[in-house]
Amino acid sequence: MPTSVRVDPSIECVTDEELVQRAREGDSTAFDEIVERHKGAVFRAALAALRNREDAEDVTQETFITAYRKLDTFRGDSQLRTWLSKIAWNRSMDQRRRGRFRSFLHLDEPDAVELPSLAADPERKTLAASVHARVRREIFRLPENLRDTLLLASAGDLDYASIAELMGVREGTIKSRVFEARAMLRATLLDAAR
Amino acid sequence: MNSEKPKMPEGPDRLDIEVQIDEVMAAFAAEEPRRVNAKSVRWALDVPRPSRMPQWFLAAAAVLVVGMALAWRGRGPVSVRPLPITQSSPMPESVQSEASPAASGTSTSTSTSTMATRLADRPKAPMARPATAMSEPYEGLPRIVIVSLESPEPLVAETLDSETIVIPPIQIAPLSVPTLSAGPESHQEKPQP
Repeated sequence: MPTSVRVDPSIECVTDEELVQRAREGDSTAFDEIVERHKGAVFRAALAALRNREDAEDVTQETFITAYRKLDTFRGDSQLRTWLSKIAWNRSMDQRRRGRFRSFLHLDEPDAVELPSLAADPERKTLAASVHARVRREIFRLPENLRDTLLLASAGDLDYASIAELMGVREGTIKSRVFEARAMLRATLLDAAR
Repeated sequence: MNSEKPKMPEGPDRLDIEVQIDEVMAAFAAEEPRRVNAKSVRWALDVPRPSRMPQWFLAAAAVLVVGMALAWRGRGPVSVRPLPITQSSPMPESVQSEASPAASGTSTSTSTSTMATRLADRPKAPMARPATAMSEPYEGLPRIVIVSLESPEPLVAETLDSETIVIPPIQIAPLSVPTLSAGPESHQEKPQP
């Protein structure tokens, strides 16, 4: 008769709901896994709102501290990632309203956003870098609601429904905003090219 | 939307621009926090590590530590302050004047003057604190300084400057038995027959 060996599943395979439950029971490693699993999404949500890496990192840290203290209030109506992103988003909005963020300055820096590896050709690389800088600049000149929506959607962490929940609008509004933002961006860049 | 309108590189069509937008968006999607991780959050939260010690043991240890701290604080270092010189303080001059003629020979007066000379010639210690009150009858005498002992805490022996402590040589003339027996005091102590 084969002996059945019960192996505890790795914490990486545990669902968010189980992690939350274990963290509520005082398992600090479970909360560590929550942080590691969702820190990128939380950071990008803050970065979309604040457009500054340092501020976004601060908000990310504060978000997880708040989440730890309010873990009991998480009812599971939405996904954990959405809940965390919403905390980060609300904090970022507060910060934006207070004007504390150090925004826009870094957008003029060519290397503010690290680009994925481009062609090895230096000439093409330089050309692409200047084009990307131009695209970035135009993105951040979009109207605020369009820019926020476009960046949140582009981050790929949240679906349209979650972004709609985050921003407090309907899902259809998110779709139209993304479409409108891209169209406006495309038109501006094409106009600049002519 | 923009005023200056810098020109894009020549030849971009709609497809190229879409690709450029997508690349920038992909770069944004690849952004990751550099400072924030589970460790930094845990540190910020100061989450206590799970302890295997029972709660009553931790509580007892805490009480013990607090009690020891309070007891140690109560014992605290004794602060030594310089005593003010008052009129009732005996000074070397009066001691010398009250000495009996037999005991205060030339050797005693010489030693007293030697001590005074040494005190006068001795350089003042940098940590020395002058006496708070110098009454008039003692003016002209070398100042007696009391080295402050209150500043070093805990008190260490190195802090005491050895140069500031002067122990004057005390020379006592040997008392001779005949002198005592022949003196007027010895006659008085004897009971009269």
